[in-house]
Amino acid sequence: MMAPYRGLGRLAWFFLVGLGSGACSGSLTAPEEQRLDGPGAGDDDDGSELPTDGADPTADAPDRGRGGAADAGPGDRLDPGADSPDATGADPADEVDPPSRPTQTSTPSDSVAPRLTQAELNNTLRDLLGDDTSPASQYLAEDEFAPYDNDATRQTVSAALIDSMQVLAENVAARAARDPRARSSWMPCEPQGASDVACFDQAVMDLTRLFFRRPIPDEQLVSYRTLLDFAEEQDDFYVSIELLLASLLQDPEFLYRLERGANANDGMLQLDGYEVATRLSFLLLGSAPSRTLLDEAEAGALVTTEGRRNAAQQLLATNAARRQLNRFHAMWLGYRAIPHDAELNAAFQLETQTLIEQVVFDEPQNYLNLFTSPTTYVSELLAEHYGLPEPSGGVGWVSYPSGSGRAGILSHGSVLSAFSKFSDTSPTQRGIFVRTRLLCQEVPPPPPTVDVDQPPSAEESAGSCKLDRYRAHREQSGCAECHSLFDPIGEGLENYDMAGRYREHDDDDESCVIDAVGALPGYGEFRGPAELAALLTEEAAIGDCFVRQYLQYSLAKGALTSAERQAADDLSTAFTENGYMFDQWLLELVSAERFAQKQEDDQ
Amino acid sequence: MNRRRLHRRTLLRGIGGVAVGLPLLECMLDANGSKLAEAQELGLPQRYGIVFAGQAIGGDGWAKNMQRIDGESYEEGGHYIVPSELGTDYSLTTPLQPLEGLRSEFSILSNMSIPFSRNSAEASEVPPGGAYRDFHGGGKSPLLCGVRSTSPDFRCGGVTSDQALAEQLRGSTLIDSLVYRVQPSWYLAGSSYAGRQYISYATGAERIEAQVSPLVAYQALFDNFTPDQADARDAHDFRQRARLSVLDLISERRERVLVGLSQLDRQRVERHYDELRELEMRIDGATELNSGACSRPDAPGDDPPVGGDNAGSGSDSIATNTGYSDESLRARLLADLIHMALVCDLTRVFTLQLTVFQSHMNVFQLTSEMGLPIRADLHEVGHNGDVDNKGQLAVSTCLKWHINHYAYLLNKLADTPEGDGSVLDNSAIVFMPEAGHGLQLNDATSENQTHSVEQMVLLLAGRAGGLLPGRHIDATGYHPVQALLSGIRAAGFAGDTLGEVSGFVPDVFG
Repeated sequence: MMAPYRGLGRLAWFFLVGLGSGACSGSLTAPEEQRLDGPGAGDDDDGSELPTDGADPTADAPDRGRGGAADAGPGDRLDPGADSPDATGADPADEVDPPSRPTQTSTPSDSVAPRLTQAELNNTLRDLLGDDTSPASQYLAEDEFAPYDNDATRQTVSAALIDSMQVLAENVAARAARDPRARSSWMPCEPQGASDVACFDQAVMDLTRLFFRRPIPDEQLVSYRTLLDFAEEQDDFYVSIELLLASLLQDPEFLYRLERGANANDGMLQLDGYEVATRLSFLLLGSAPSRTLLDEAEAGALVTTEGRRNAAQQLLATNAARRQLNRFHAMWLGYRAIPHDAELNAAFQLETQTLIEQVVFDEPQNYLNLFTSPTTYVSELLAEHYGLPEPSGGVGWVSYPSGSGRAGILSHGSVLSAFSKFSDTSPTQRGIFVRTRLLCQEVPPPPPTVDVDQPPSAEESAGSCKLDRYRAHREQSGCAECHSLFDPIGEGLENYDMAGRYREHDDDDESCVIDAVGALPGYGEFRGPAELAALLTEEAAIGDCFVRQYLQYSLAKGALTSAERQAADDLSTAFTENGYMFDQWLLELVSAERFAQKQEDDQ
Repeated sequence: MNRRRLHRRTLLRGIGGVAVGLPLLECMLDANGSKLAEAQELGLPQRYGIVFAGQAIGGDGWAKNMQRIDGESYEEGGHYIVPSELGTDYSLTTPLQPLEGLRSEFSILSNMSIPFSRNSAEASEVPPGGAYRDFHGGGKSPLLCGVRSTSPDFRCGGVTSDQALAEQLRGSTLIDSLVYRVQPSWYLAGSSYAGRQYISYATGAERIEAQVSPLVAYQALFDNFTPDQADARDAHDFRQRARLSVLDLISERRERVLVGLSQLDRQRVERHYDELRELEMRIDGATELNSGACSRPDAPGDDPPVGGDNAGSGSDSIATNTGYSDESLRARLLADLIHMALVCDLTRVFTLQLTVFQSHMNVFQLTSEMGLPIRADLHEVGHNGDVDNKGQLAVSTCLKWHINHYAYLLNKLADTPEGDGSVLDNSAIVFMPEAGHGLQLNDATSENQTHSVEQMVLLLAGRAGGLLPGRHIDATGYHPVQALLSGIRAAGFAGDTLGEVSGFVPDVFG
């Protein structure tokens, strides 16, 4: 455990172990880590929030497989002399011979420089070059979401990435350099002939600064002049610009958010203005810093508390900031993809996005109102879907009727669609969602002997209602301990189906009237999302968990270290004390001195 | 203008082209290696590849002759993949029908098993090469790399068969191996691959990301070679010089970029630079494509759009064309590239992952095209199907779709002459489903389960290294990795062990 960083107040804890590199290298062990994922979240390769709950009550009892025949197994012809690791449960991978080339050995707790995600690449290429074709989505392999897309430890480097980046870079560069109208927005000069060295040098200086997010030394700038030879050969100046862009886009300095820092003092390195600009921009906008922000960095504004605050205020006033915050929520609350038809999905997304923007941007207010809002923004389609009053003008805010049981984002079809299973809601999954995503608690993984992919057979479920089956399952020996942790939570939401509609009875049986009394163990009983939200906001400190989730995303990590959790706790206290005003809290967070520092590598 | 380094690939070219065989190792010259020796003396490359299906081979809880189609449950044999007869005179089952014209070119290895403890689900009780008692993840490591799994995570505990061979052959061809994936997206709303998208691991259990874009795959393979048309050569030469110059500019900055980085960042970025250098060498090493059957295939055009996540939650409600990215076309395009890469000896090793582990690809469209529309994703077909269609015929229809792509590749290889035979004669191509159909791994009690590492089936095609195809082989008691070892051995692997599993299935050599 590190000593407190004195003199900076609670916010100084933020980023205590650094947003980037080396902050905790080699010093962490598994017990210090805590995943925020639900069951199915495992080490390294896993972290899925796939509904493999294993806690589904319809599955067989977990102990049914025990006590079978002696361990014979079909492997009689296996060679016992093969290099077998001992059967201690240790990961055999640890005992494999060292590879012949560098490997990607980072662990979930390693703090490493994240590579730009698909979304960040798309945003950056749109913002810097006006390329709105989302080329990263087209050419690169899909990112892992765990639940966030930027966990550096899940990013691999292989020939596929390199080949894809080459094709991406060449296509984007050609599009940008060949379109006179588009390039007018980013070319700093008009060339006078194919071999205009002055204009080329100016472009190199400007574009390397833009894409590397910092200026590079003059002697490195000069080397790019080799590209002018190709322009001369083709008698076309923009050939050299196209090649320049292709080179910049494939450069690790563009693809990775590298931080070096300088002026070590008491184990802490001071980031320069450019590194701060990069932190700010990717955190608040999900994109590379603009020329304006780089200018502020160059002017030294971002190394001051006030300068960072002002810059952040400007960034938060953009539509990009709204998109970024919406995207975080969609990953956090599991609705980045919704399993319904496109029209309904769009209506759900608009409803949820508008509420977030109202609470954070349009009418800044207590962030927890996101969960308790008495109104919602719906189209006619969605109003009819929910059975709510129609909005005036085709789309707009409506109040939830008295007795609807609805309030805030937990009433939205977007969130209620997530964590479903077997074409219906899963009280187990919804309970796990509340435990892991909203309360940042760990729940035990399902016992391996439970096959979680099998729903109830018709025979097993005949004559019984869904909640009866769940409750009966919970009473079975070996099941109660875990299921009592989350099923009662989900049961309280059972009146709301997997499209967010109110229902009186089971989908497939009108005789099964749903008596949805839920319980948040330790906090109290509730009926429906409104009462659940009240418990979460008034009793269960959902704000604390939000801070942890936001910190995990900000750090681009799959798990927080104990020091980071401590930092999150202190940030939570600050959040509480400012009345959960998210915008103010965020400004305090980025203006804290610690935001412009990183821990010195202890190698 | 450009710095010209003397790459290892250049050296290889200088000593007689890229098709340089490995020295014949003494350990290859056993009973099964004589054919390999002959092939190498003739200068014929021996290849190995895996075509992978992320599905089980039978329906959950359904006997092997039972199904429910159009709402009617009935008994009918011949749909489950394993023929009832052994040897050469077996009846083709439903999923094997695409291989009808190739009967003499592949063998069926049935009834293999991965060991597991029936007494305990504890990680410490997993036997060598065995499965942790939690499917799907628990089955992955022992199936692909012969190392026991100790958790439900989708990971491998060591090197996979394809990469074990590729590492030994490293330097023999321009590209060490092709790692391709057809299913480009996970499709299940609210979750992510979590490791299900990897079937190739390098030594050190290092995940190898697959190429999912046929367009990029094509360009990476063939775009660097000199075009046949004389009038296109100047432009090509210009582009290649420009490409290398662009990469040189990046490489030149390497040491400057690394300055000041933490140890972990440095390691991470260096790895990226290493891969960029490999790209440089691939560009540098590509000159003229070989003559004969080797030729540049047509460019595939833009990739089919990636479909969004499934509209529906697994089964019954799935009907629209979400959760599908025209995998049928993607598979064909990638198979075309693999075929020509093998013919041109650009590589001798490949993996083609048609669908990911526990795949949630929507099968409605492709099964509709096959005459049996199933409103479910692939994973649910194995477990529950849709309300009207489940059991063996439903599962086998989806398996047939996978095998159809396997057959497409085999046919192309078989139709390509090489030496006195065909390219397939100098290949060992495996078809690998994710699961068997037997005792459930999780509970070790239920029979006829998809979550099973019992009664596993692999297909092995080709005659590389003395393989003798054309038969249904009872491989009872063998580990699937022993079949993989037989395959890589046939293609020149010097060794008899993968992970914790050793030995071969001798019957595949006749």
